[in-house]
Amino acid sequence: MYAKKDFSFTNLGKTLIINFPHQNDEKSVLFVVSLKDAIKAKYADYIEDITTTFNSINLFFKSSYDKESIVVNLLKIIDKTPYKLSVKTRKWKLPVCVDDEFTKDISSFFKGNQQKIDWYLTKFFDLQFRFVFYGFLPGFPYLSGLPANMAIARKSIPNNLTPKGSVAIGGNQVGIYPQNSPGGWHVIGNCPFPIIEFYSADQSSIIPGDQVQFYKISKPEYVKVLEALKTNSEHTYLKTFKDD
Amino acid sequence: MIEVLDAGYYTSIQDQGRKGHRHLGVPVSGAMDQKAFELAHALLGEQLHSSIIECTLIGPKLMFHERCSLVLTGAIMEAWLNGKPIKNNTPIHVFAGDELKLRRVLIGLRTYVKINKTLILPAVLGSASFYSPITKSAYLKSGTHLFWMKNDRNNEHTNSKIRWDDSYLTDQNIYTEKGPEYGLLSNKQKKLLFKNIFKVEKQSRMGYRIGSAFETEPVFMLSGAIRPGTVQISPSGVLLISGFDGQVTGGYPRILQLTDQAMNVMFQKKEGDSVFFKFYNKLHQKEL
Repeated sequence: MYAKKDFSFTNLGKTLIINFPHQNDEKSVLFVVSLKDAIKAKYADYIEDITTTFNSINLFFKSSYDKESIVVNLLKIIDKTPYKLSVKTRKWKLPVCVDDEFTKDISSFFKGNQQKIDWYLTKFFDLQFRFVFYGFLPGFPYLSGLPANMAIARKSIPNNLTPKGSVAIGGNQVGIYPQNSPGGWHVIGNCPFPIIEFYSADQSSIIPGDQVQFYKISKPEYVKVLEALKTNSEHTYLKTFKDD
Repeated sequence: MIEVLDAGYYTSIQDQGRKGHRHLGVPVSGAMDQKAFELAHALLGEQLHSSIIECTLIGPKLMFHERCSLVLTGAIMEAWLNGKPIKNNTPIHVFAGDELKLRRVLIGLRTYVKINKTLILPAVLGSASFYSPITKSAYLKSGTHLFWMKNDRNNEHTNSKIRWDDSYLTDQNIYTEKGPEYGLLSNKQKKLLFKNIFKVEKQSRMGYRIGSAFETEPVFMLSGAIRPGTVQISPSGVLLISGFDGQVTGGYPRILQLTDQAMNVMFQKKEGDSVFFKFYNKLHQKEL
């Protein structure tokens, strides 16, 4: 839960940043989503975009703005935004393959100790994550909800290539690589499901506040999903969310 | 139609950019030198939303198969039309069979080629600006054919009365505002940041890397919003300036933000060029 005094405002050129402490509980996460929506509705004509991160809402104004008067308005909106779960969220279930070829990072992190690797992955599949925002790469989701005892620091030297679909841990954040990319996070498996398809007309995707849970699939199942994607055909694993 | 005979070093097509998709993690893209982008449109008497060819370091060789008007803006490159030297900022008419050849850059880094036609390009998320993997390719390839709309109202009224000033191409002063984490620098670092000369180590449309001796305490930061012109500092002291294809979030302290004008100056610098940082706000300059 946030108090008014938790919010501060900084400039980054034509971007106004609303800062607040990162809080992981459901109420706070959904409050930030409602707040963002309320601000977006109010300033739609003046901004190019509005984004969120774990601890900020960012207003990308089209031209320079008067910070003082806007801050007054923003504080009013913060006051009026209710702490109720008015945001309609979805629950996503995403398939992840933890075949040996995808678990080299986590395996080397635990120095090949199979017991520890199994412990980590079992716990991982039990967790419920919350989607917070896209950043780093187009369609790279940042998920919160990894407990502190499962946090893994970034690699000191980044990989040249983290493959597309990699489900990876960076500190206490979880992300999914939407494309092949250099990366410093520890990969624990591969999710064949494309989070956003930028070419497709259907842009429905995971949005801030949505819940995400991963489930384990075998290598043959993984291959089948990839084939279904290639041929644009149906597959039960591609029906990934349920409204609730 | 334009036939790309030789694509040059790094040539891409840019328009007003992919605005409004940062929340999906998609960078805004668009011309790195917005001043040259706007000037080119003004010189051809056009609205500000059509695409432009951005050439970097070594320009392309283009064959025109139909007539049109064109203008070059931004960096000064060696440039010939059918073997005859041509100048920047001066609209010219080209005819079927004409060959435009751009080669080595002489002043600046990025030259813009604008024609008075609307190129037919696939728009993804409202923009045709090249950015891989949102668009199929990040740069133009030799052998590409660029078609344009036939039913365009032929705008032959080029505007030659526009005043232009290209002195920014050689300017070394980069005007900035304080970034959200400016306060993490020590007083000594703040002073030196605005006194020392800095050299560009590496550049691309994603951004610029500039070396500094300012080692900073590694701070744990959650990723924050960044935009073109944001200057972050890595723990080893590398200054990272976001370009138009730069990530929408970054994990290093954001110490400065370039002004819009300063971005035009900065993004015309190439590897080895030197710059000085200045405060846009004179009061801040005095504090140092």
